[in-house]
Amino acid sequence: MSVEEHRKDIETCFGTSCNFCERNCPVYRILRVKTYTCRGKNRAMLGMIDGHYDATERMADVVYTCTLCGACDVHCSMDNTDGFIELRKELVNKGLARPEYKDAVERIEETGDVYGRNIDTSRLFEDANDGEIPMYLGCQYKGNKNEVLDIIKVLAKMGIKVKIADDESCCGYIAHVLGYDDEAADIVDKFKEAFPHENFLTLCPSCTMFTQEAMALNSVHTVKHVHDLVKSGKVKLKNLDMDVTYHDPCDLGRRMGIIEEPREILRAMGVRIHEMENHGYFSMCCGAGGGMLITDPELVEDMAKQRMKQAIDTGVDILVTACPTCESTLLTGSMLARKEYKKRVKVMSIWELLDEALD
Amino acid sequence: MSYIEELKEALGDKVLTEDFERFVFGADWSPRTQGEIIPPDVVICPRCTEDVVKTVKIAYEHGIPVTAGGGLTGMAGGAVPIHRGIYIDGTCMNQIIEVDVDNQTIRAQSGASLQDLVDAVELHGLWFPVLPESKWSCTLASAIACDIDSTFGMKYGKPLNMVLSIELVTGTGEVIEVGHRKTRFSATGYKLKDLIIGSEGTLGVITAATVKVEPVPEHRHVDMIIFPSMGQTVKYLDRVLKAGLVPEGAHINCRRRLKFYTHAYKEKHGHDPKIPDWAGALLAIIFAGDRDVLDFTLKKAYAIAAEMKGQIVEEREIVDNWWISKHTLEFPPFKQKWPASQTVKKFGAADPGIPMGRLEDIYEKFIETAEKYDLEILGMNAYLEHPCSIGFSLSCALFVDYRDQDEIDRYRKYFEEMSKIAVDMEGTMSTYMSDTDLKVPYFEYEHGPAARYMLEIKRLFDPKGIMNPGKKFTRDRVLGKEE
Repeated sequence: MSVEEHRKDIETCFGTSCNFCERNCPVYRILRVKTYTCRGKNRAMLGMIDGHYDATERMADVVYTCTLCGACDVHCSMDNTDGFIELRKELVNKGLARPEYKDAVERIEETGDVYGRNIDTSRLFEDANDGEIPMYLGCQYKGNKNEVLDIIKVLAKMGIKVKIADDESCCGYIAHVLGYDDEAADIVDKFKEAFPHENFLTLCPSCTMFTQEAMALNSVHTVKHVHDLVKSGKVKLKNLDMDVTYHDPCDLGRRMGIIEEPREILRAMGVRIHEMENHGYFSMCCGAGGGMLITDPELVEDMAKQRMKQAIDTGVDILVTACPTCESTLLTGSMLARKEYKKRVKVMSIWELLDEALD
Repeated sequence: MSYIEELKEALGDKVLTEDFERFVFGADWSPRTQGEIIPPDVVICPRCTEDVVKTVKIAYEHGIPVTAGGGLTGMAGGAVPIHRGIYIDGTCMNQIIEVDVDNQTIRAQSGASLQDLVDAVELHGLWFPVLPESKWSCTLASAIACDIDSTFGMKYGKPLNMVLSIELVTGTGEVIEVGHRKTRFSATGYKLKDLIIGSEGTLGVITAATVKVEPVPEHRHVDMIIFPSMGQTVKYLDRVLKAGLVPEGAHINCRRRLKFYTHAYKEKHGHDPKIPDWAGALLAIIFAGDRDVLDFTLKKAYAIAAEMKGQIVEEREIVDNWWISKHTLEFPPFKQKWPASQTVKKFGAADPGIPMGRLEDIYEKFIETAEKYDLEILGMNAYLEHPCSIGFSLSCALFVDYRDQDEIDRYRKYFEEMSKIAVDMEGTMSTYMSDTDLKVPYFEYEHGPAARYMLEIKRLFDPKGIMNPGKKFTRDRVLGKEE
């Protein structure tokens, strides 16, 4: 694919100009400059492919100031974000993307880890490599030993014995969305070498989606797997009698349609869900998508705070989510929102609640 | 120092100058080819009135055109900077300034969307009922500048009926407030506020406004009723009003037009919904209020419909889909109808106004004119936009290939001709898009000697002819270079 191959969608956006994409764009809601919207970027691409101007570094900055959350796509009928990734590839090829992105991708190539850490999963999780179901942790979780061991324990209580790979490597999602396609292909090869499984469980929504879409693997997000067990009655959960709000991670909810499953698990624990203004398919990004953490952590924090304001508005004290990136980003958002709105909403993972409900 | 350098010095990073940034603001929703996108020379993203004042003062000093825009969903190019110069992106100013629950008013910056206004007052059981389909992106200032239509016009009217006060930066950079604060009307002074409504930014830049908000009705019911003709539909509505019923909204669709709103039905079922052969018009009618009053209202409205050969549409899916398109915008995820329905051709419409008894006549002329220019007819809609009375905004709509310059040119000829036809029918060229540059050729034809008074008013507010030049009058006309 190329930007040119998205021409029909880009022209349709020009012909339509409905602007519905703006409504829930987490970036636009903060920056309020139209060039950052989906329509803005589509029109910028239109001028470029029609030969009115060439891409610039400033254009690259605008195009990378996007979480690729798909809030524009859900209010549209076109795959706008696919086009933005194609544009990122062209910007990379023209040498216009910021060097920080290249550095990040090189780090992944060298270490197999988004954060450039050398983590030996075989040592870290040596007690968790004798299970039956392979589980891919992903970069967000694999350095977080205690949390992963807690999750493994929770799964074991439900009879799910997982097996962690000896030397897990990044799936390549980040390199792909940053527009480094060749490098992403190499990273995918290393992933497959270290993790030679067709059927496996995952914990990170983005890894799940990417391994399904880019590699046609049968990866299943663990929330979905747990939901199936709860639904079939094989797992009994305690009544926690709680009120929470649930944050849909963009890739899990909007992209993969896993929206009711986590809610049904929560309800099975006697948890009452108070929905935020944006939820389900129309959920709002925590801010950390699309590689934005690499170059614009302040804007990510603003977006996380924006999301936590919606949680505050529900009146509950706890927000639950099912994505490690959302969880850590919203933790920061919660602290910032607490300062501004004088109300604290605790951020928890669904695994923490399951742990309580399985004792 | 060039004016752009002055702007940068005064406004810093609120000034956008790169090619791609300017290109974004070079077109609205009006039918035009990609080759007709007109980027401004510079874009300003103001955050407050003072930013607009600084911008206009620099523009005035240098004689640079200033076009202010909002959501850029206009259908006739009203906010397209045809003389380039400075574009002010009003959407950057979207703060709610005051919600006054006791007096049922809201004041907001110009770039608040109409939905933002609704969101700001809904906790108090209030709403701002001037809501077109573009309510998510149409801004308060744009709505005022074009005196747009609303889905609920038959009860609440247009911006003209809802706006109480407007803050305006005139063509010299002076800030004035026009209107009557929070009172519903006033008998003092001249009604300058009304002059600004529909002025398309040609007299100044609207930076804030105070509008009425109304109590949200407890219940609402939407129906569709088939009638043998559009004329019969008008008679039905007249009878409904005579009976003492007040619809919130009423929209008359010609038989052809219905198809545009049944896109989702067609997608799902693979065919258009069945419409009886005798059907000449389809009325969408909205009533709202307390449950018992609404029940009585509906019973009475149905009884009148039966008396007048109207047939209620029983297939609720058709009604519900129309309502999603028209108001709730609750499209299924990834299936919003607008892009899907405009991949090849786009919606384009003329918006003439005619007296209530001429609906069938203008429909005939619409079909005849569209066929004359060999354009694909979508159909005609008459939106009832006058509170408690029969008064139409018309949408005489076509599907236009926006990649075909010849077709776009024919569309513009059609547009011009429809303007003349409306005036000949004792009507008006425009009901919700305003004049833009497209109606300039017939401006004198409609307004006669009054056009000269309008020109003098324009010169008073905008002595250098820099405010949205080319709209209503040519720039040369304002500057006295042409008669």
